[in-house]
Amino acid sequence: MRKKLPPKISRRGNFITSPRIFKIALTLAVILVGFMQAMAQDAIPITGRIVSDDGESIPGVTIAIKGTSAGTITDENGDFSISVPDSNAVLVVSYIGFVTQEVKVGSQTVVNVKLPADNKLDEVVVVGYGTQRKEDVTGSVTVVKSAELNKNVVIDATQSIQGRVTGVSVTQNSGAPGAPLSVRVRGVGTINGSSPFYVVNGVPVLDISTINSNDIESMSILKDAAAAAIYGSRAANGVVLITTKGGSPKKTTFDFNYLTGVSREWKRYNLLDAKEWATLRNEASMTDNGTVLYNPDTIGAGTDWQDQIFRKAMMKSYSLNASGATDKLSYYLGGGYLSQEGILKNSAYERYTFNTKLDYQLAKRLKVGTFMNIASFNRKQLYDGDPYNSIIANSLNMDPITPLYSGLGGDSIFGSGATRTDVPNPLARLTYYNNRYKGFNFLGSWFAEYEIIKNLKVKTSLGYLYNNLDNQQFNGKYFVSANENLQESQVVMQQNQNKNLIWENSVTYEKTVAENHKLSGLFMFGAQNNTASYFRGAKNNTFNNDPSQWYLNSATGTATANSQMTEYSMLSYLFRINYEFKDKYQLQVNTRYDGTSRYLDKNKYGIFPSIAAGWILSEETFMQPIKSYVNYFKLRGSYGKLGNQDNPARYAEYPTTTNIFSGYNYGGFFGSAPLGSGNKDLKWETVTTSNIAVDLRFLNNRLAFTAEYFTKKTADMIYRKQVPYYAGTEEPPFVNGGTMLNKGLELAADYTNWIGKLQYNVGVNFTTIKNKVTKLEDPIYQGQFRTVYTNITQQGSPIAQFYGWETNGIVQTAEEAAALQTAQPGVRPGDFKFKDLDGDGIITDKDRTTLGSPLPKFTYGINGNVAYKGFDFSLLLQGSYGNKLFNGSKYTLEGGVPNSNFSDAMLDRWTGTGTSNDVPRVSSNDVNNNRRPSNYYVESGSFLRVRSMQIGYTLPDKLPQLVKLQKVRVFIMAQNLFTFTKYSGLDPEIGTYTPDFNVTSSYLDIGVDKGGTYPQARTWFFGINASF
Amino acid sequence: MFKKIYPFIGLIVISTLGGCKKDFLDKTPQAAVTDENYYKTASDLNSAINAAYDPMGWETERKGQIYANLFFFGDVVSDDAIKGGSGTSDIPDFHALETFIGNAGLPALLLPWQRNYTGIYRANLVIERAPLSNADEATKTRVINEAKFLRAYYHFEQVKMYGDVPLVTKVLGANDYNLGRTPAAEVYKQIEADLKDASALPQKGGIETGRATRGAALALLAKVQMYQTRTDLGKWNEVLTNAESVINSKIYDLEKKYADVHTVAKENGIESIFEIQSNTKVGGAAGDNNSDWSLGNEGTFINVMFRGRDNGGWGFNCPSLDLLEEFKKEKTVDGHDDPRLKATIIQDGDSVFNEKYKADINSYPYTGTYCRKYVEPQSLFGLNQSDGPSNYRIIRYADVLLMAAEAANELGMTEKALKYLKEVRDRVNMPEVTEVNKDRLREIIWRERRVELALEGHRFFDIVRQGRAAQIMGKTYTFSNAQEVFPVPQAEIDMSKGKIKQTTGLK
Repeated sequence: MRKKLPPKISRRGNFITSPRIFKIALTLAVILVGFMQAMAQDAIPITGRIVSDDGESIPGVTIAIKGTSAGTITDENGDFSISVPDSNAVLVVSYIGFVTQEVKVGSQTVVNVKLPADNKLDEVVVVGYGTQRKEDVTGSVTVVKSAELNKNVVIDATQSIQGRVTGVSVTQNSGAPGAPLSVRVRGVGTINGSSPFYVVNGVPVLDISTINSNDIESMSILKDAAAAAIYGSRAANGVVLITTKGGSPKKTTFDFNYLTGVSREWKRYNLLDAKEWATLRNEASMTDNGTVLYNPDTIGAGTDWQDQIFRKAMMKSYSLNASGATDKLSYYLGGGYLSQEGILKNSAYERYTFNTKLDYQLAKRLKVGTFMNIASFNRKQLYDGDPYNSIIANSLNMDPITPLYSGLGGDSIFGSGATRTDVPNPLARLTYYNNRYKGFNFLGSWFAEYEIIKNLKVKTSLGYLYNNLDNQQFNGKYFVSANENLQESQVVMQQNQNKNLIWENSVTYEKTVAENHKLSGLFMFGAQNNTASYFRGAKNNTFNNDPSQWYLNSATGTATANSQMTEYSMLSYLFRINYEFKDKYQLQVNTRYDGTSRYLDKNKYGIFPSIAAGWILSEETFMQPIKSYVNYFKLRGSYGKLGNQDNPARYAEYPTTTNIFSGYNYGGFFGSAPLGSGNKDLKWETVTTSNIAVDLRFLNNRLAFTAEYFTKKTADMIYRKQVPYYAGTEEPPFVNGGTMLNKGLELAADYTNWIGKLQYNVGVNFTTIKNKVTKLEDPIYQGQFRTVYTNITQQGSPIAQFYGWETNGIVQTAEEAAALQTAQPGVRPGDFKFKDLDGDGIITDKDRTTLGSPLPKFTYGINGNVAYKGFDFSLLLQGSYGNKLFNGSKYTLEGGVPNSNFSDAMLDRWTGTGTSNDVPRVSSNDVNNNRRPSNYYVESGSFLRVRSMQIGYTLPDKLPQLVKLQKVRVFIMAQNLFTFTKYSGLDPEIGTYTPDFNVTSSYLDIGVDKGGTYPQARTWFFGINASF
Repeated sequence: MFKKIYPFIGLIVISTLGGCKKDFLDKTPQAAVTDENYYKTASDLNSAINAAYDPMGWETERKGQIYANLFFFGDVVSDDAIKGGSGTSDIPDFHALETFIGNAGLPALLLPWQRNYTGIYRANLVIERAPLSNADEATKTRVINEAKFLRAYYHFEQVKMYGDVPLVTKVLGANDYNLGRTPAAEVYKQIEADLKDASALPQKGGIETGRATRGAALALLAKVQMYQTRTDLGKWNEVLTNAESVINSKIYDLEKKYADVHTVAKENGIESIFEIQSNTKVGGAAGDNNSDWSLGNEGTFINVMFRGRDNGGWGFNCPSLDLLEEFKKEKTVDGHDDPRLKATIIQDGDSVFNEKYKADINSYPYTGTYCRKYVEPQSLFGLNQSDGPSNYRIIRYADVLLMAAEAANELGMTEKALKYLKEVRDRVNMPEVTEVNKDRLREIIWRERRVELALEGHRFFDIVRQGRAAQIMGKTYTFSNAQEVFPVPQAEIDMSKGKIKQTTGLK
C-alpha cells in the first residue's frame, strides 16, 4: 500500500544547506548530465536500481512519474522497470525512511539512484494554529490522512478515527442514516458531555458530518494539553482539527469517486412465533388465575414484526473534484452527493456537499485565501433509542398473534395489539408518524497573510458558520383501534439556527540563530460570537395526510408557537513559542487566555498554560553505535491545563431563572416560577493533563512504535447538586464540585515490509484507561430504566457503574417460596431470589449494589494493508475488552411478563423444580418484580469487529490511458462484516442515549442498551476511483 | 504599501477589542427572566400565584413514568378500590401500597412529597415577594391570601400522607437545608393560621372561577380541624362553626342529580367548593406525544385511567366488591338501588354512553368493575386520550354537609346532625334517618360519607382519622397502626443526613 504515497509537502528551506544532501544532489546531477545526450522518444522504457547510502539495494521503493499516478516499485533486488512517456518525465523515487528524490529522465534508459536515509521524516502535521514537522511535535497528536479515510468512511469522517487512533474511542450511537457518532478522547473526562472540540480549517464547528470525507486532507486529534491548550477553555475533551484539500502545484487533476452499497441488519432477535408465545401466555395465566387463553395449535406462526420493519437498503455516493495550481493560484473544487436508505423502512439520509479552497498570491508578500463548504441534507428519521417509543422497541414488544392488517379494510387498516393496547402496530407507526429534517450548513473562512519581513507574518482571518435545521413532523390522522388512533393530524415545524462568527489575528515569526537555535513564535488574538435560536410552530388538523399538506397553513387547529435565542461570546489571546536546539532538544510553551460570556464576573476569564519538551536521543553521539538498530528514539513529555466551558444548562449561572410556562391561566396569566436556583459562582471545568511518551523506530525505520502514558485530572466538574425535596425547587442548581482522574497507557506500532513485490503494512493500537471519580459529595444515580436507576456515579469508583440488585438463583420449591415471604412478599417458585445485602431480612432499595462497569479494560484496533502489483487489500479490526453492558431489551424479551413478545431464551425458562436457575418463570403479574435492574441484565460487552475490509485493483496504466484517464481503481468494501461477541443484544456497540439527534446526552448512563436503538447494518460496497 | 498598513490595522484591531471587551462578554439572558427582575408588577404576581396552583394537578413526574394521582392514596389503598390496570405490575408501586408491603423507596411516594413542597415553595415566594412589589394593594392582598390557602392545602396533603413533616414557611436558602420533621400538631396549627388568613378572600363569584375563595378556605379549615379530632375532641366545635359558615353563606347547594356532580358540564358548579382545574387547551404543543405534565396543569389522566380496558381506557381504581355491597345495603324510599351506585360503579356488562364495559383478559382485578365517576362520553374523552378534560373535585358541598352532620352529632346536637344528613340523602331519594343514639348515628354518618364520597380520594384518610384503619384494612391485609401514614420517601431521608428519620414501624 505504500505504492501511492500522499503528495508530500515540500521541505523547509534549510535542508538545502545540509551538506550531506547537497553532496548527493550533486552526485545525481553529475549522473544526469552524463546521460543527457540521449534523445527522448515516445514511451521510453527505463530500468534501474535503487540503493541506500551504504550501497545496499532497497526493495519496495516507489518509483512514480511526476504529475501522473503511474508508477512501480522495486523488486527484492532493488531493481525496477518503468515506461515513461517522454524524456521530460521526472521520476519520483520515494520510500519510507529515506529522502525522496526526483530524477529527470532526459536521455537515460538506466536510472540508478542512491537514496539517502532520512532520519527526520518530512511529514508535516497540522497542529493548532499552524503546522509542525512530525519530528518536532512534543505534544500528543495523532493524524489520520486522506488515504486512510477512504478505507472506512462513507458518511461521517469521524468514522476514520474508529479503531485507528490510540486513546480515542468512537462509538456509533445508532445505525440510523445520518446519526452522529460519539467521540471520546482519552476517556470520559467529565460527567457532562465529553465531545471533543471540532475545528475545520480554523473554524469551530459542531460536528463534521457535513464535510464530505473525499474533501478532507487530514485530521489531527490533539490529545494532551501541550497540543490542545492552544484551544484553551474548550479543549478539555480533546480537539479534532480537520484540514480540507487544497490545490497542489501541478496541472489540473480531476478525481471522481463512485460508491454504491447495499445494507442489511447483521443481527436480529430470535423472537417467539405466535404458537410459542401463546403457549407461554397460557402458562402465565394458568399460574396466575387458572385460565387458558389461547389454543396454540390453531394459532399459526403469526406476524414476524421484525420482517415488517427491516428492509434491504441501498446507498450511493458520487463525488467529483478538481484541483490544481498556477504560479499564483491554487485551487480545489469538490462536489459530492450521497444518498442512503436506512435498513428500517421510512428512514433515509441524503446529502449534497460543495467544497472550495482557493489560495492566491496577491502580491509578492501578500497571500489571500478562502475556504467554503456548503452542505445540505435531508434526513427521514424514526423514533429511535428509547425502550417505549422506538420502532425497534415496538417491533420487539408487539405480540406475534396480532395481525399486520386487521382484515377489515384490506391493507388499509392495520391490526391492533391483541394483548397489549399501549404497543402500537410498528408498521402503522412507521406509516403515520413522520419526522423529517432539512439541514443547510455553510462554513467559510477568508484570510489575508502578509510577510512583513522574511519569516515574520501577520495574518487575519474571518470564519463563519451557519447551520439551519428545519424539522417537519407530521403525524397523520388514522384509526387502528379505539386505543390506537389519531383523530386529528398534527403538524410541527421547527427551525433551528446556529451562527458562529470568529475573527482571529495572528503574528508568527521564525528564526534560526547561530545555526543551532531554531525559534518560532506565534501570537494570536481573536473574538467570536455564537447565537443559537429556534422557532417552532404547531397546529392540528390538516386536510389530509398527503405530504403536500404537511404545513401549518394546511392545518385548521389552534396554532402554538415558541421561539428562543441563546448567545455567547469569547475573547481570546494566545502565544506559543517553540525552541529547538541542534535538532534534538525541543521545547514548546503555549498559553491561552480566554474570556467568555457564559460565566459571570471573575469566572469569565481563565489562563490555560502548557509546556512540553522533546529529546531526540538518536541524534546523540552516544547513540550512534546502535543507530542501525534503533533508527530513531525520542522522548517527550508535556504538562498543562485545559478548560471545558460547555455549560450543561442554558443560563445556569443566573441566580434564578424564571421560566414562563403554560399553567393555570386565570386572568390570562400563565404561571411562572423559578424551576431552579441558579449559581452565580459557576465556572468552567478545568483539566490538568500530563503526558510522557517515547517514539521509537527500528529495522530501517520500517517498524515504528509509540508509547504514551497520560494522566488527566478534571476538577470543578459541573453537576447538579441535590437539595432536599422540601426546598421545593424542581431543578437542583448546577455547582462545581467533584474531580475525576483518568490514567491511561496508549501503545501503537506500525510495521511495513515486503515479500517480493508484495508490500504489507500492519498497524496495531492498544489503549487502556482507568477512570475514577476522586471526589463527589453525593452519588449521582442515572439511567432511568423503566423508572428505576441503572447507573451510579460515586466517589472512589469509575463513572456510571451499573447498579441494582443481585440475583441469587431461582426459587425452586413451594417450601423455599414460603420461607422467603417476608423478604420477598408474594414470591413464588420460578421467581428470582435476590440477595439481602444489608441483612435486614427484606429486599429493599438498600440491597442494591454495583454490578459492573461500562468502561472497557482496554480497547484495540488492528489495521492491515497489502499491495501486490495492482491489487490492494486493507482490513480494519476494532475491539473492546472487559466492558459490561446492561441489556435493557431483556426487560420485555426475557423478563417473563407476557404482555410483549419474548426472545427464544424464554424457552429455557423455569417451568418446575430444577428446570432453570437462570431464567425466571412467566408471570403476567410479576409480583416479585423479577424484572427489576439486576445482574440478570448485565452481560459482557467485549467485542471484536471487522469494521471494514477492502479489496481494490488499480488498472494497469495503459488501460486508463486509452480513455484519457490517469488512473482507475475499482474496489469492493464491506463494513461491519463480522462481529465476535458474547453479548446477546442486537449490538455490543452502545453509544450515548440520544433519542433526539440534537441533544447530546451525558455519560452518566453509558452502557445501557435500552433495547430501542436503531441497529447498525452490514454493508457491501462497490466503488470506483478515477483520476483524469 | 501593505507593509505600512498591516501593523496599523493590527493596532486598530487590538484597541477595538480592548475597548469593547466589557460589553462583548456580557450577554443578557434571552427568552428567560431572571429572578432579580421578577415579582415586580401585578402581572408578575398573577403569574406567580398561578404557578403555585400548578403542582396540585401533577399526576406524574417529569418523564411521565411514575403516577401518583390522589385517588391512588385515597381509594386504591383503602377498602373501596383495587388498583386495576393490566396486571399487578402495571403501576406496580400501588400494588405494593394497596397490599401494605410498600416501602420508603417507592418512587410513587416521592412524587406527592415533591409536588406538595414545590407548591409550598411557590406559595412562599408569593408571600415573601408580593409585599416588595410595585403592584396595587388589592392584588397584593389577594395573591398573598391565595398563597396562604395553597400553602395550607399542600401542608395538609403532606400531614395527611406522612404525619410529621418538615414545615416550610419561607423560601429556603442553602443554609436552611437542615430541617427535621415538625410534629403534625404544629403543622396543623400553621395550616389553620394560613386558612384563617385565606378566609379573607372573596366569596365564590367575587373572584375568578377556579381560584381559592373564602368558602374554599373555610371548608378546608373545617376538614383540617376534623382530621385533628382524633386527638383533640374540642376541635368538633370549630368544625361545625366553619362548616356552617360555608352552609349559611347560601352560596353553595347540592346538584339536583347526583350523577351530574362529576361531569364536565357541572365543573365549578353550584356544589363545587374547590377543584383542581384542568385545561386541555394549554400546554403541550400538538404533536408532542408526551406533554410535560409538571410544566403546566393541562389535562388530566383520570379520564383515561378510569375508562374500561376494552373501551380505550386503562381501567384503574376498580371498585371493590365490598364497596358494591355497601351500596346494596340500602334501598331508596321506593325500593330501588341507591342511584349513587350506578353513578359510582360500572359493573361487568354495564353500558355507559352506549359502550359496553366488561372484564378484560389482560386486567387486574378481573372483576369487570370500573369507576363511573369522571367517565365522559367519547366526544368529550378527547383527542389525546391521556389529556382528559375533567377537573378533580377536592371539596364539594355534600362533603361539608356531612362534616357538619358528623360534628353536630359529636357535639350532641342530634337534630342538627339529622337535618344535614337528610339534605344529602334527600337528593338521592334515600329514606330519612331517625337514629338518635350518638354512637349508632356516627356509624350511619360514616357510612353515608363512604357511599356519598366514594372513589373521590377520601376513604383511606377518613378511616384513619376515624381510628378504624387497622380494623378495616386488617381484615384483608397485615396492617400495623404505623401504616396509617405512608413512609417518608427514602430519598429525602438519605439526603437529610440523619435529620429526617423514618416513622417508627415503617420501612
